Amino acid sequence: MPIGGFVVTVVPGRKDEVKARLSSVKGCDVYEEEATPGNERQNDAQIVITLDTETSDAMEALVEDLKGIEGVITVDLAYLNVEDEVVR
Amino acid sequence: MALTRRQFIKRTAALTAASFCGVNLTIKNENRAHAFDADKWVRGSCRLCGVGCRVELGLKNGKPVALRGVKDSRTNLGYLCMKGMLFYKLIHHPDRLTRPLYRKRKDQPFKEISWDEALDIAAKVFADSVRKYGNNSVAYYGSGQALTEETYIFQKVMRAGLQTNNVEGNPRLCMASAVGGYLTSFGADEPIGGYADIEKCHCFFIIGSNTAEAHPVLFRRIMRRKLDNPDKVKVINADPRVSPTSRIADIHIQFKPGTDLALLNSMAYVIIEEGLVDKDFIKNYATFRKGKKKVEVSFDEYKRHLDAYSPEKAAKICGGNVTPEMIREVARLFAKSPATMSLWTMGINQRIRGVWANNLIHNLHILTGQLCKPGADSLSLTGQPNACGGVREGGGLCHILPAHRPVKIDKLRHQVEDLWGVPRGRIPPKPGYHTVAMFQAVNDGKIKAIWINCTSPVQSLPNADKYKKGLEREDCFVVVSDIFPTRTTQVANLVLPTAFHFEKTGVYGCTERRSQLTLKAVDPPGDAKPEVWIVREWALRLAKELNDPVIKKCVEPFMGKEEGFELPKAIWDEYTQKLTKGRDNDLRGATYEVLMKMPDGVQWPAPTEEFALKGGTVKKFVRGLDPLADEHAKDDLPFQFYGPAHKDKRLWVWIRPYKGPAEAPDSNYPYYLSTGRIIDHWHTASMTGRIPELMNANPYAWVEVNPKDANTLGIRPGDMVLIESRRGRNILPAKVVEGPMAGMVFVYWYDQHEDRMINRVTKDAFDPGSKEPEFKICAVRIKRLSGPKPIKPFLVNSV
Repeated sequence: MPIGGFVVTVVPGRKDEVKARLSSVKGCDVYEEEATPGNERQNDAQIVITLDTETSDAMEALVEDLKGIEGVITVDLAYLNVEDEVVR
Repeated sequence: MALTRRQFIKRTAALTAASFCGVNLTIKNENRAHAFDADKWVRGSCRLCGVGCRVELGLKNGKPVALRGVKDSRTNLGYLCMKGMLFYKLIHHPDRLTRPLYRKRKDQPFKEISWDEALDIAAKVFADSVRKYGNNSVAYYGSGQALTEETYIFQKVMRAGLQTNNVEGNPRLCMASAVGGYLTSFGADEPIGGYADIEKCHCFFIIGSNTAEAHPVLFRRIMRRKLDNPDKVKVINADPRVSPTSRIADIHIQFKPGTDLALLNSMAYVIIEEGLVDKDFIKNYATFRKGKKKVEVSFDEYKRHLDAYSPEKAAKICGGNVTPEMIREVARLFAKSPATMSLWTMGINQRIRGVWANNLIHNLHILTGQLCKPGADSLSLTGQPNACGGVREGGGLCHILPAHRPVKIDKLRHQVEDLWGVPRGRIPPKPGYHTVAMFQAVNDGKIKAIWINCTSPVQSLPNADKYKKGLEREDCFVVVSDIFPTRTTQVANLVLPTAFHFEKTGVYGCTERRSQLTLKAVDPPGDAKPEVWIVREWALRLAKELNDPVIKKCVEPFMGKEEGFELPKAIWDEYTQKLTKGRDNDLRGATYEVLMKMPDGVQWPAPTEEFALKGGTVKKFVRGLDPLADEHAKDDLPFQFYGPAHKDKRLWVWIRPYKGPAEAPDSNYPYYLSTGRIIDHWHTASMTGRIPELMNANPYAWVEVNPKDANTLGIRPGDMVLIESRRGRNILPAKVVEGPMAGMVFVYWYDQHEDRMINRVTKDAFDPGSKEPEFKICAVRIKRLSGPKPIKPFLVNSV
C-alpha cells in the first residue's frame, strides 16, 4: 500500500486545466496552495499531489498515465512510503 | 482520532513534495469524521478480550466513526487499547459476509441463496440426521464471543428441541480448567473478587499470563498500582517466557514449561514450613482433600505430601532461573503481603493438568487466608468477552445447563425442563461430546451435521490438520454462522451471515462476574441477521420437519418479537428471571432496564433490581457484600462459602502431585513450543487482521528463538525457520530474543497463512478433568531453512 508525494510540472498557463483532470483520477489527491495576499499565483507551473495505490506496480502505472495527460511535462517523486502488501 | 496513520503519511508526502517547489499547502480537514464530531454515542462493551471494557460507539449521520472508553465504568475507567478503539471499522467492512451461501458438496463453489432457502436447508439437514442417525449425530459448537442470549437460545433448541447435549463452545479451549478449579476448590465457578481488588493489592502473583498483551487495559491498572507504590507493591511474574508483562515484575520466575505444579506445591511447602499459614482461616473455612473420590484428609497428610516439593527439590524440577531461595522469597511475599492477588490465564489452563494447576493456586490463597478481603483474590482472567457470561453461565458446554447446573444431576435437569415447560426427560441425562471429542466424532463420521457459530476451529483447534480432515468429509454437513470468511467457512456447506457487535443487542459477561449490555446502534449490512433471529426461525422449521411441537415450544415465548431489541430482551428475561432464580449467579436484578442505566453493568449475584442498581456483588461469599452469603449463612462467621458443589460449604485444599506435560522434548523433538497472543491481534485475526492499523503493525507471525539456541542452530534474525512436531509443520521468520528460555520457542497463533498456522503443530492432549487441551506445551524440532525472505500478510478473503 504505497503512498507517494509528487510534484507535477505543467506547461505554464495550463495549471487549472491539469488540476481539474488530476482531481478526477482515483487514488490521486491534489493539494491546494495557500493564497498569499498580493501574490495570488505564486507558482504557475507546479502542482503537489499524493498517490495512494494498492501496490507499487499500480503506482508506477498510474504515474505513467499521469504523464500522458495533456499539458503535463513531468511527474516527479518527492516522497515514498511503502508498507507490506496484503495478498488476497 | 484527528488523523489516521495513512492520512498522516499522505500529508507528509504532500508537504515534502511542496517543499521541493516552494509552495505552501492549505491542508483542510473537510469531509473527515472525527471522534468529537460524532452526533450520537451508543453504549456497549468491547467486542474483543475478556476484560469487559465499556465503550461508546460514535455515529455521524448513522455511520460508525469512532469508539471511546466510558469514564464511569469500573472495568476500564475510560481507557481502551488499540483494538478496542478501532473495531468499529469492522461494522461496515467490505469483506463482511452479507448473503447466505450454500453448496451441496464441499468441492463445489458457493452460491447465494435466500434466508428462506438457507433455513429450510439447515432444518432439513439437521432433521434428516436426527431421524437417520439419532439425536447425537448433530452438534452445536459455539463461542465465548456470542452474546448470552445467543448461546442460551442455541443450547435450548439443541437440548430440549433436538434432545442432545452436543452443545460445546470454544471456552472449552480456554476456560474449562478454570471452571474445574473454582468448582473443586471453592465449590462454585467464577472468581470471588474482581478488578476492584487491583487498587488494594500489595502482591501480584501473575503466572501463565502475558497480561500486558492479552488484557492490556487491566494490565494498565496493575501497572499503575505498581508504579504509584513501587516499594509497597510487589509484582511476581512466573512464566517460562520473558514477556512485556515481566517488565514490571520485581521477580521473574522462569521455570521449564510444565513444571508449574512443582513450583506451586513448593510455595505451599514454604508457607507451612515457615509458619505463614492463616490458622484461623483454615480452621473456620477449609478442609483438605485428595483423589478422584474427594476424600477428606488431615492437614498432616497434606503436609507429608508436600515433602516431595521442598524448594531444593522443586528448584531442580523447575530448572530455568529457579533457585530454592527464589521459591522461599516468593512464598513469603505471597503469604505476608497485606493482600495478594493471583492472576493467570492460558499458561495455567491449557495444561494436561490445568484443573490441578488452578487448585494449587487456590491452595496458596486458602492456606494464607488471601481471599475475601480487599485486595486479595484468586482471579482467573478470561480471554473472550463472553466466555463467562454466555458459555459458563448460559449453559454453553456439554455438561452444564444454564445457571451452573450440571446436566447429570436429575433434580437440576428436571428443574430446567420444568422452567422451559417441556416434558421431563426431554434433555438427555448424559453430557454430550466435549470439544476434542466432538471433532473426533466428526472425524469418525459419527456427527453428520454441525453448526459452528462465531468461531474458527479449523485454525483454533490444537493439532488442527487432524480435525480439518473431519470437517472436510462430505458426509458431515457444516453450517458456519459468522461475519467474515475464515479458515472454517472454507469447509462449510452453508455459510450464514450474522450481525456484528452494535448491529444487534445483547449481554456480555466478563471475567469478574459482570454482565454488561450492548445496544444495537446500526443495521447489519446486506442480509446479515442476528443469531437469535436465525435460531428462532430455524427451530420453527425444525419443529415442522420433525413434526415435534416441543421444538416449537422452545422458541414460543420469543415469537413475533422484533429482532433488534425485543427478541434478545425476551430471551434475557427468560434466562435471568426463570433460570438464574435461586442459583449462585442470580441475575434477576440485572434486567435490560437496569443494565441500560449502568455505565458498566452488574456483578452477580444480584437478586433484586435495587441491589443491581448499586452494581451488584463486589465480593462473593462475604456477608454484608453478597446477599446470598447472608441468605445462606450457616453460622455467624463473616464468610459463607455457599457454593453448590461443596456440600460441607467449605473451601478445599487439594493434594495434587506434580505432573509434567503430555509431550516433553526428546532427542527427535528437542525443543518446547509454546504459543500466545500479541497485543494488536486477537484470536484468529479474522477481525483484527482487517483493521489496517493493527494488521500493518504485525502483518505476520514469527517464531521467537532464544539467542543461545539461535547460536547453536545457526539462526540469525529474520531467517526462515522450519518448526516441526509429530503432527505438523510451520515455516516462519525468526526473531532472536531473550523471550522464551533456552530450549523453548514461542509462536503467535493469529496468522491465517497455512505455513504459519501454529495450531497445525500444537498437541491435542487434554486435561482428563476439564477436557481442555494442552495448547501451551509440545515438543518440536527447529531448523534454519534460509536467510530472510519477503513475507506477505495473508487473510482468508473469500469463501
